[in-house]
Amino acid sequence: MTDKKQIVIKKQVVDDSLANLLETSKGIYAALLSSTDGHALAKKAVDELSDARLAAMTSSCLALGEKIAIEAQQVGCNFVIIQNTNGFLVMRRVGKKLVITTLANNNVNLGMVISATNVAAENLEKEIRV
Amino acid sequence: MSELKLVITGTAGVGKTTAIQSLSDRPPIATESETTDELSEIKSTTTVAFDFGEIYLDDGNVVHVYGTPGQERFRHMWEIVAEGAIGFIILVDSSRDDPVADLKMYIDNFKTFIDETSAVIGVTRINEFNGQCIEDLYCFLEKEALFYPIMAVDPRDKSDMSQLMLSLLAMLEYG
Ligand SMILES: Nc1nc2c(ncn2[C@@H]2O[C@H](COP(=O)(O)OP(=O)(O)O)[C@@H](O)[C@H]2O)c(=O)[nH]1
Ligand SMILES: [Mg+2]
Repeated sequence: MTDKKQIVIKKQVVDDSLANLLETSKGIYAALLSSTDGHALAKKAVDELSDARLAAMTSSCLALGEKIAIEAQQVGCNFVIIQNTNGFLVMRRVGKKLVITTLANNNVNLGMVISATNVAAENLEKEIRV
Repeated sequence: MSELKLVITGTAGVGKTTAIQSLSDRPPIATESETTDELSEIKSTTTVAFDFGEIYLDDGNVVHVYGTPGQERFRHMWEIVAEGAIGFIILVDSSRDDPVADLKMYIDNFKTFIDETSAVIGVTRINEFNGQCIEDLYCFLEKEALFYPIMAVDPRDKSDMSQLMLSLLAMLEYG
């Protein structure tokens, strides 16, 4: 890990942050930490989660959200939210190179998921050494 | 006036984003994220959704050109970006280990789309040592009974890229 491009973050901190996120509510059933260029780094899930595909798609989606914000003359895209009939996904950038994605069903409200994701992201941001 | 949709694809680092920057008559849209893997030895950012540029042709038509991400993990974007395209520009990096295998992969991946449209091949990073690469690519296409033009191009050069694009448009018109 001598390459300075490498993202350095303590595994324990990541695992704890993701675990806390899932403990916030029974409605939150998975959380994924990935790089903004689309690699899965860590996950916590109640059931199976195909993290590789989700990580790549998340990075596309986040980049698009940021471009759409700029096109609309807005800045600082913090969250991309995908709301569906049976649940939602909340994506939030963590520092420059990471993104956290929270998957929830309808048993929890969106505000709570956003807030919990924010807490996890802020915890991780404090810990990142790039 | 009509809008024509073209797609540029090829391996990561071949020059797709650069090509769209050279071609576009308006500031292009790029979706670059910082590279965190071995690609960072070659470049610091990579396309994660798509590139988009607009080219105004002399005949009044507008070309919308989309660039795909190169890496297979972004396959989900390939299908989204390819939808409705009338032609494909496949860029092949002559400095890589097996340019023929690279070309084959992108032809296979976009086969259902390319079969209904057409394609041209641009070969990048050609120098005095690897000119044979173009021969190899010709042989491969001939074996596959595919007749797509092949040109050496520098993605940084607007006139190179315009010629490649115009040869694709000409094929679509008369092919
Ligand atoms: N010297 C040289 N550089 C090239 C050539 N083709 C591409 N490049 C460089 O390779 C890089 C390609 O990056 P980019 O356009 O982001 O590649 P993409 O992944 O296909 O979008 C750029 O820095 C280009 O200037 C070439 O034919 N000669
Ligand atoms: Mg690119």
